[in-house]
Parts: sequence; C-alpha cells; structure tokens
Amino acid sequence: METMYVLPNWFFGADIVMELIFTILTLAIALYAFKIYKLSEQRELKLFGISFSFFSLSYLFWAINNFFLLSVLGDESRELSLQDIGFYNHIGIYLYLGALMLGAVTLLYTTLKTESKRVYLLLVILTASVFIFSGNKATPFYSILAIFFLFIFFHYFIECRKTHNKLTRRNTIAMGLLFLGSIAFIYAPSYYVNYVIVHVLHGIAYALLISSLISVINKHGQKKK
Amino acid sequence: MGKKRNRLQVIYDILNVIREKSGRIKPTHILYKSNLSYQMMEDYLDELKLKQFIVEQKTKTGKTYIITDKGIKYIQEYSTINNFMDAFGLG
Repeated sequence: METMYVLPNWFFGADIVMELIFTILTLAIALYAFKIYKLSEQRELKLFGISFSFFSLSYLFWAINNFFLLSVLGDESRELSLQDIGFYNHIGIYLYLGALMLGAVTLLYTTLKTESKRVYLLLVILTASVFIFSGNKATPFYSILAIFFLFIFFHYFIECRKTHNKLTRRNTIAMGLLFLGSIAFIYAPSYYVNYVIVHVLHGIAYALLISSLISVINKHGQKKK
Repeated sequence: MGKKRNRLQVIYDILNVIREKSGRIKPTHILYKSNLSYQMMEDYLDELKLKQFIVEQKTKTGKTYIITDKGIKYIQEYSTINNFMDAFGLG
C-alpha cells in the first residue's frame, strides 16, 4: 500500500484553501525573520527564516498535489496514492515531502544551537534514507517528523520556562500542536478524520504563531510612535 | 547580581558604549565599560567587524573603533530584534 493519506469528500476544497493560507502565513513569518536577520546578522534568524520558507513551499506543493493528484474512493472519500498516479506526478509528492522534511530539519537544527554543518547533513541524510528505503513511505516519514517536532516542542518548552515570556508560551503551544499534527498524520493513510484533525491543528498552530508575530510588529510600531 | 546577559544584549552594550563616545572609542574603554574579559571582548569585536557594525581604524596611538550606520540601526531596532528572538525561542 502506498497511500499517503485519505480525506473525506466534504473536506476537499477546504483543505486546499487552508493549505494556501498556511503557505502565506509561513511565508510571512519567514520574511519577517529575514528582515530581522538583516538588522542583526544573527545566524539563528537566517536558519529560522529558511525553515519557514521550506514550510511555505511544502504547503504550496501540498495544495497543488491535492488539486491535481487525488483519486476518488467512492462517495465518502478521496486518497493520495503513489500507485494511482503517473511516475512524473511522484515528483510533486517528493517536492512536498522534501520541502517539509527540510523545513523540520532546519528548524530542529536551529533549536539544537550547534554550528556544525555535519549535524545538519546527518539529519537530512538519515531522514531522506528512511523515506527512500522504506516500502511504505508515509508512516516512517511522518513518524520521523513527529520525533523532530517533539524535540522542537521541548526546546520551546525549556525556553518558555526560562524567559516566562507570554509570546514564547504561545509559540510553545503552537509547536505542541504541530507535534500532535504529525502524530495524527501517521494514521492519515487509514483514517480520514485524521486528515481533517491535522488541518485544524495546523490552523490553530499558525494562528498562534502569526498572532505572536503581530504582537512583535505592534510593539515595534508603538516604539516608533 | 543581575540576570546573565545574552549575546544580543552584549552586542547592544558594546555598540551603545561606542555611540555614547561620539561613535569612536579605544578598545580599553570598551573593556572598561562593557564588563567583559579581554578575550571575550576581542571575540565580540571581531564578530562586529565581520558583520560591519563597526570598523577598526589604526592610529598613531593605537586602534579605535567606529560605529557604522548598520551598528546604529542595530541599537535602534534592538528591542524588536530581542522581542522576535525571545518570542520564537531563538534567544
């Protein structure tokens, strides 16, 4: 079985709109991180910007794939299956998964606070190897993604306890939701409700992240006045 | 004893010391005002030169450091940089 995920028919369309919204939100976070990087030249900001650029790309590819590659499974559901699509269409799925993997690896690498490029390379190679050499692509890939987001969540949790910052707390919850989203995705090839849950969790997570960003921008605006 | 300063704060303090001295300062003054060890100060100054926040000028009496426009912009935008990095767990 090469099913990446199944989704209910009633959710088709809404999912694509949500993915396009996530593309814009993650791009906004990436662009602001790059703006702050330009002012401060702090390496972490560049990496953070790169990771969210990859997330943005992955959501865009996801939306495109969902628009063109889903097969109808009857009255109730649709699926994205590697068996049902032509060889060249696999490229779209690999682009989506590759961008998602690079986004997660880059964010994890940022939180590890290491300057070793070999660590980054190791994370990329290990994740790619699991994907390439496993028979069932979806489950191992999303399991690894869940582990990455668990580590990212713990980093934010520690930062939150250290700084007692309201916005860090908000972003810690967001990372926790992205972690739960990755867990839910592991079972998305079997249960279509999980696909909806993933979108809802991601929606809340990005709403929290973008509200933090708006708070930072507002503080900046107030200071200028 | 105050809270331990993070990197952003140390960079801000060094740049601010230079700005308060009309934008030009000798390393001994930075050492005195920034509350860092000599080696740490040297490391930070190298980083600030690399990032073009300051430029080094050699004179007859020794080295002086001059803050650049980019360094002044950093001071002006410091709280936004700090807020963003804290909020997104990058501090």
